[in-house]
Amino acid sequence: MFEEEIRFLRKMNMRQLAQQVLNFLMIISSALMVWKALALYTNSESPIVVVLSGSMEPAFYRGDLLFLGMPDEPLRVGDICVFKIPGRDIPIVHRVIKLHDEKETDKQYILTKGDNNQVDDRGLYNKGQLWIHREHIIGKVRGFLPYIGIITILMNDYPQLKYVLIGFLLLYMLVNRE
Amino acid sequence: MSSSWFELKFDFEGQKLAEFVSQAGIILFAVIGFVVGFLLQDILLTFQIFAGGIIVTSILVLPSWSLYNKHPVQWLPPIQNENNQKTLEQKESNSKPIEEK
Amino acid sequence: MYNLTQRVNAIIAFAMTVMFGLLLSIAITSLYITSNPIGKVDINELNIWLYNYANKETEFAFIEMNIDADLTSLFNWNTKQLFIAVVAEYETNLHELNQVVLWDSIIQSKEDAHIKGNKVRNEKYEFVDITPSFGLMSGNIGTNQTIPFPSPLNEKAYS
Repeated sequence: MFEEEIRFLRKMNMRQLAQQVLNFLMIISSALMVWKALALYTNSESPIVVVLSGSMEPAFYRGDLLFLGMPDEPLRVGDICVFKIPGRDIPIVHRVIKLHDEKETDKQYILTKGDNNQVDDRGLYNKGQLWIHREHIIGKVRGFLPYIGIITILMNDYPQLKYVLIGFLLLYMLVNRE
Repeated sequence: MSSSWFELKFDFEGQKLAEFVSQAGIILFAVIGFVVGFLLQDILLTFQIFAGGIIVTSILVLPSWSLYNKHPVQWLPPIQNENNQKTLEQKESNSKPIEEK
Repeated sequence: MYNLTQRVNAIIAFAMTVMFGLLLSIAITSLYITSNPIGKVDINELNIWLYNYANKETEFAFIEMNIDADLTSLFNWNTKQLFIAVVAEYETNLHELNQVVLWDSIIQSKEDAHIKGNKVRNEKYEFVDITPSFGLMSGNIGTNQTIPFPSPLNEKAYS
């Protein structure tokens, strides 16, 4: 099955090999460009996220894909937003349940809670932190697609899968003749 | 690639027909699913019909039904020449991309 | 279309394309399906108690209310669930807008809500957030009701 591919690789000269590598880099860089353009357009640092926990069930399940936007207007109670606690890597998707807009500074004091959690998120925030603010918010959930992100979940749970997948893709790109 | 039994090759006319059948079938079932789902306000039904459509299309197109091999290519008779063996092999791999498409 | 792998590949690729088209058209239809939700919240009881919270005397309001809402029209084929909340909205000297969820509930099928709950604070309105099966989310459909609050507000409740 593979002998033909190996024969093909052996027959390639440096110029062809360089072209295949360049093609591969081209695909990666255009994907990156699309991602960055989307981030600029939505004004959110990561416009598409995958739900990693079941804390928002039954609205979102693990593996659902969320599309984020950054609204110009302030957040309101009931909005589902994605926020990042300083010092922690993984962003959290939860619903705003309490909100106080300060008159003088327009600063928003936000408290969130997962629909599926019994208590609010104060236990998830840093020690002594009672509220999160606008600067912690990555985006507000605008739309979603179920199940699509399940590959990310699998890659998170089984990191070897990531390398197998990347290796396979690389090999495929190299021997691809079209 | 050396030909093996599971490749289920089609001839050129068959490929054209298979492409039409698969695309028309999938679109048709998507439209039926959309209309039925909308009228009954049942989104699950839409996707069940769509999934069923993909299965039906696969059954129509994937196996090597005799319909897809009605116009076999008439090859010219091979030229009997021993020292051409090597060039023939090269020719085969060179002409492969055209043949596959 | 030449051999089996190519056909499988072609069918999967084309089916994916058509599926995204299908998803998009369904998401678009849900923008045009209209609805007329009706909701009413009655206050049965409103009590203010003073408690010592974090070494400060703090007001706590306890509200008992009847909620009567008919939200069946919000369910269309692309509605996965409704998130319903009774939100207290008020203004204080320091903060121009305060919103606190008094009660919430998630409805996943066509049925009414008629529930009693008890908790905190001032004027209120009803709030509905629709989570579609996929596509765009919509929210903030509901009725506004203003209810007078019997005693002066206290800022100490949070600090």
